Amino acid sequence: MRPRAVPYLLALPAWLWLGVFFVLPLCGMLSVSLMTGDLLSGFTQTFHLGTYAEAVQRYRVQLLRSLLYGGSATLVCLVIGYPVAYWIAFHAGRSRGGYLLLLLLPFFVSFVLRTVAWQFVLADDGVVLGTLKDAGLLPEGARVLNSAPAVVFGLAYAFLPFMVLPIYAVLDRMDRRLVEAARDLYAGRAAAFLRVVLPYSLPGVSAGVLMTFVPASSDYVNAAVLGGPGTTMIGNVIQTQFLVNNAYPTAAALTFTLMAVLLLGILGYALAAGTERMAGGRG
Amino acid sequence: MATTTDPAAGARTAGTASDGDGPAIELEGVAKTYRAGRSTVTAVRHLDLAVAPGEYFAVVGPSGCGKTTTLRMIGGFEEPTAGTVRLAGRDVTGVPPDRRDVNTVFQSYALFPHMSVADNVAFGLRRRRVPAAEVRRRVGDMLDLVELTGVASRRPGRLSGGQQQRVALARALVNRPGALLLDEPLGALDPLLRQAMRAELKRLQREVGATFVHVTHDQGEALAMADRLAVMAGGRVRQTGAPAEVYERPADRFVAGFVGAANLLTGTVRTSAGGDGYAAVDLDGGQRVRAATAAGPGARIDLTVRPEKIRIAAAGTEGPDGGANLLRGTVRDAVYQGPATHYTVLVAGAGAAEPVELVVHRQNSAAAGPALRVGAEVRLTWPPEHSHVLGPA
Repeated sequence: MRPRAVPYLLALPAWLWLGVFFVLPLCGMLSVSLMTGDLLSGFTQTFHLGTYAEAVQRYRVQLLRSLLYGGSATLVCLVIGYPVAYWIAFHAGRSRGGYLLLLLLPFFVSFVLRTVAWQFVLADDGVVLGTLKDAGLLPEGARVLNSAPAVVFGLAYAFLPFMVLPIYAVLDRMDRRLVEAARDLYAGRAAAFLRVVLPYSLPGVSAGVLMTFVPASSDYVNAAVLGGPGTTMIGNVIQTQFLVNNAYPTAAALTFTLMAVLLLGILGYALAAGTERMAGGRG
Repeated sequence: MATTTDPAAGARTAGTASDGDGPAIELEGVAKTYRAGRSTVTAVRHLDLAVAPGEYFAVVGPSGCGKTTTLRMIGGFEEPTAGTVRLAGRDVTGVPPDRRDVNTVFQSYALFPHMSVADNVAFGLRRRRVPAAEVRRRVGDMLDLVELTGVASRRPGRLSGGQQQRVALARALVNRPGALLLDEPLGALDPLLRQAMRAELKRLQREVGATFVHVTHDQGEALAMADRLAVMAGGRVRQTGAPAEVYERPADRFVAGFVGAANLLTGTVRTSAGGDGYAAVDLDGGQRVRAATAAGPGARIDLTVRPEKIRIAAAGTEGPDGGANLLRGTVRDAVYQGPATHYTVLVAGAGAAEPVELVVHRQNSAAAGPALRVGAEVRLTWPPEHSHVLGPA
């Protein structure tokens, strides 16, 4: 066997996996999105592009809401996650592994179960709100569930490690002498952070933003469990169209639209942040 | 801040304004202990050191001797657990690095990878709010000085090791610090480049006229570059002096062995120094040599002879020794080094139990005789003024 072929052969399982479980379903989905018909009389391929226009028109609000919630959750993750990553990387010393484990510990529990647990915690008469109401600190009608903030914070909670880990990875391998060099060159603590640590960690921030924003925007569990009728996200619509209304072309068209929007967003973000940073490279 | 157009003139005046004649750097009774779990580790114990303005000062010692900790205490990255650090007469103990008039060239340079070379060099000036036009001019001048003008807009990661080294130098020197601290500045370079950078560093120091403190584990580097050097071991300074002084007259056995090959001999003074200043010393193996010492009869002394001071010749080629010390031995090893051959000679009757090994360097000059083979009987001679008596180690 020619040694040159070995790397390709080793990559073969991955290619097969990607082909069978990603590319094929994607093509199938694309085909479905262009069909017309209904469940009783069957679907036929008519290359009907109108489904896209109709679906986007009808669920424009949910689509925009998804991007808004996803973006807000990403922002919350960044604000909470950066200090966490910074602290673990710079100040946790030898217990860094322990703190990372703590951060990931909730992930040993099913995603849905965790969200349902939040539903229980934040219920109108649950442990938090009920207690606060009994203590007279909150008015009787106060509620958290079924509101946009509940969904956003649910998303932020669910995807926080996706923000923390890439930032941590960059900060952890940063040469501490860079900070000393900044201090040596007359930068105070704040200036050393703003001029050296923060710019240095931007590749990690970029990766974290992407890894949080993409799944958060297309999530449907949080909106379903923690939200209400007013917080439906595009993921919920797709789920309903597929599983409840059996409107397969509409669901498929919405799926592709979401993908296209996210890809365009990533592309724009990549151009703004610089491709070098996206790749985590540093010349 | 000086606004002269000549960077060298600026460096000479900057930061040393408070008093011109005192030391640029002064450590007084400085100690540093680290807590490591339940035990404490002493990196530096009671250190006194003074570096004169404009001096090229080297701190040399084996790894773990406390030399880097000492440098970091001058830079402000570590606070001493005892003692005082003064820069240009001002007590800076407890003052953070950004408020000290010294700059550091870090081991492996610590260049900011996300900034261009020019932005790296401009960093300190910008933090000090120097006007943009002046920043541009001084960065340009400095890049000229280290011959890096062509790569000003590149990222440091794209430069060779030698170029990165010069960026690190430029980034520190552009601020015209009262003193420049260099932590193993040549350690990351390959040997050929290291030789070239020694000359380059000396040239820079002459041109800028700043005080340099250079920390290294390489005694050859310290001897070659420093105006004065301090040899450290075990958290203490063992000897301070000019390179020739430290090499020719090492203070103790450690310094003798660390700065060049030691050729250590131990013996007892037999008769105290006569009119010529030399005492007769009975070596532990029975042979007798002469050395300058004030010690009286019966005193135990250590003495060393540097390898290039000893003359080696085949036994039988007896010549006039003119009162020189004479030992006889057998060549055990000969290593040809190009300009010189390094012989290891086994000398019977020089050590108490076993024969002593002496290292002898013989220049392969036109006048040198035929090479001596391993196993050859040889005679070693050296004038008594080169028997250097050591203090207690």
